[in-house]
Amino acid sequence: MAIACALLLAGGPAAAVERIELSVGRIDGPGLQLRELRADWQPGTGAGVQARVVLPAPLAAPATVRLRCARLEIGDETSCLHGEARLDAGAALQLRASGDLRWQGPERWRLQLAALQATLGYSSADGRIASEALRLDANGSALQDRAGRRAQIELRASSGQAYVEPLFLDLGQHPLHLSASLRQAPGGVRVTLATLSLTLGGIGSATLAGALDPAAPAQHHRLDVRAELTSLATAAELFARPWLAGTRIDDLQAGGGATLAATVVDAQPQRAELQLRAAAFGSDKLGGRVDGVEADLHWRADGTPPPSQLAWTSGAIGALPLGAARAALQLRPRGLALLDTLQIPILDGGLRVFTLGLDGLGGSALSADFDATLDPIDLAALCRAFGWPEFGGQIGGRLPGLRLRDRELRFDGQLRAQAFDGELTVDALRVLDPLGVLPRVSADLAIRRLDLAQLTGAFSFGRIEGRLDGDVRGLRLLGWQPVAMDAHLYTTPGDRSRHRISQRAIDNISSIGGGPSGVLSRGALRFFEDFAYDRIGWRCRLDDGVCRMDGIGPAKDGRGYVLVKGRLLPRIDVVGYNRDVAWATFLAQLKSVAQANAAQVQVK
Amino acid sequence: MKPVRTHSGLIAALAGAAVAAACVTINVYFPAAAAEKAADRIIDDVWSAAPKAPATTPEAAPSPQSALPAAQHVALAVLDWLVPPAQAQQQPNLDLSSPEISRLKTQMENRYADLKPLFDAGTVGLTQDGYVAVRDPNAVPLASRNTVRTLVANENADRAALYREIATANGQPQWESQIRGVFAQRWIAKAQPGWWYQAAGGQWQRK
Repeated sequence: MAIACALLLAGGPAAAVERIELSVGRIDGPGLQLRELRADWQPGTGAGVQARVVLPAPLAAPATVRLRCARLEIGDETSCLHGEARLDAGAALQLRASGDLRWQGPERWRLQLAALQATLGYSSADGRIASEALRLDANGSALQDRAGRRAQIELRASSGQAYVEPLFLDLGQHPLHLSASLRQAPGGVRVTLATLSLTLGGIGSATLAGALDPAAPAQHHRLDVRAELTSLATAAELFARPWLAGTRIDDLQAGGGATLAATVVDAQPQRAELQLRAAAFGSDKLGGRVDGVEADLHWRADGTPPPSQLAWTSGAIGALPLGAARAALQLRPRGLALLDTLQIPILDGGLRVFTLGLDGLGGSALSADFDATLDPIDLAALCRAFGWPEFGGQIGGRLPGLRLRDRELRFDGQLRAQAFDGELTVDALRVLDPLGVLPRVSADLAIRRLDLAQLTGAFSFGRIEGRLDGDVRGLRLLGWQPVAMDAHLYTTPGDRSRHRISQRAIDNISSIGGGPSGVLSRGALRFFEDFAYDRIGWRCRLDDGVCRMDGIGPAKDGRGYVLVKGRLLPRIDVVGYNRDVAWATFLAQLKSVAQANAAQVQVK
Repeated sequence: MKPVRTHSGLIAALAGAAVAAACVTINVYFPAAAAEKAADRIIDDVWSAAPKAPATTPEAAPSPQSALPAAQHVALAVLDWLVPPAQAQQQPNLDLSSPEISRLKTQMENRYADLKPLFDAGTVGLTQDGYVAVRDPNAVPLASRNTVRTLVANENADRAALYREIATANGQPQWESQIRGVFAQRWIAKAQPGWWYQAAGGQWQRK
């Protein structure tokens, strides 16, 4: 420590001291540098100290400090009454405090802080922590006596902004009120947080109680938190969304209220109880939401917590509405398990989940087990929900084991569904990167014995009778649009059912293929409502936006391919000539056919 | 006779092993030049998607290329097709036609309108490892700091996926980091004057 000082005693040689002035050029201590220290004392006007300092990190700003006691009494008890402290560090920090200090020694003192006002405009070099015109008002007291140390503080922040990456808080909109009282036993270092209550305007409040023991061999910091969130909507916006930046749920919306009670020991959560009331969660990017969520969740870091309950009144996955459901869950340290069959109504059917297990939550090794059946859902209602042309029939089936590993959702077995009196199986279904920037679906599909009459019945495409098989291999969906597949649809081999195709269906097949329409309705064939056919076949190899088409086989002329092979008289063969069709064009044609014919259906 | 037979057997075995080894070892070298071209094509697409500056008058717009007669264009194209550059024959192009790549590119093109002002202002810069980063967070008002952070996080998520998808689309997933390295150089090389980038040492520099 380097001290350069000058002492000036003013007053007559025999008289009492009237004034003492002390100047110290510089004091360098660990973590503290004082410059131009000046202290003065006069019996009438009290005492004052003034210095220039460089504030320690993280503020690290030059500042001037002034301390002044209106009445300084020195004796058994040294007291500074009506004291005032000012600190001026420019825009970084302005602080002004007033109060009284009574000092009998380091073991017995008392500080009464009548008022403290601070304006903080701090910004760390890396920009991760910053505040702008953050205004704090506080008052409190601290004392030490035989019973130890006690402190009590009341703090309000009602204007300015604060940013602690990634959280941003505008205190003008959400004023903060904090009151805390702390205790420390004599001679000990264990700090007990008797209470700390914190209210954030428009969001909620929290109370904390705990103990901090920096000297214990294994640090034993215990904190009990109880938070009451009155607005989950604001809490999600301020506290959840910033953490979710760069994921597919960074637009998370929430509503309702929540109560959380948790115990944290050594920064590790030990137990948590969460109640949700009339809560709602949704994400447009992910395309899902649940409303009217009531939950009573119990979690323990080790040991078995009581069973948890989760219920909602309605929800949606994409355009698919979900009904009310209630789940009994057992939460595990890093996962959960379903205790009872979970029934989720979907339209007139529903999903019955028998097994649902999640493990490794919050880590990269997230895994899931899933087993469910789909109770038959009316296809017409399903199509209405998705805005598709209405198909008749039902869809149902079994959803076999599902596993989530390495950013990939994989179904172990086959997914089966019954629709149009036939069967649809989905094999090798995988969802890649389900929560990432590029969610993709890949699968192989097989269609067996689909009743074409049912399929075309509601669809205003034209009536076709017969049975249809199909194989779609290497189907890849990106954003729910097929981008690659090798699709093959064909009349079920050996099918003995009635094979008829209506004039309109033939017309539509030929117009989608780019051929002329209305050919049949002009000639003598217009008297025939429908025709017998032998086989239908269509193949599309989709790659890079182009569908390479084919049919049952080559046409007689060697250039085209047969889409519909007629039978008996009058025999009609439909031959396609376009080999490469842009997928977008093909879809547009299919759509326009469906729309154009919708009017005709109404006339009939 | 006996030692001779053993000897020839040994030679045969060695020769067989050599042949087997020669068959098994397949070296697929990273096509650096092709990767550079591929990167340039994507970067041009992503960074040309900016909304036209209102100051640009239509008279100033016509490029010298569009003034070329169409016939000349066709002739050049035919010539290119007949006599392909020797380099193109030896070095295969990287396939950029996968739908995943197109989709990521579209997402990045759409985001560029928001990112460009930040590049121009020097708030966000190009990192040496093929991503973007907030260079000067203190230049952003507190209230919009998270918006910038989200924008940067989303761009980086797309870039990471893009590098991975290009490697996957070409059947060489192990090329991912090399592709990222090539992109890192090309983003910086194609950056507009005044933008900031990270030099090899990690320090920020203005172009």
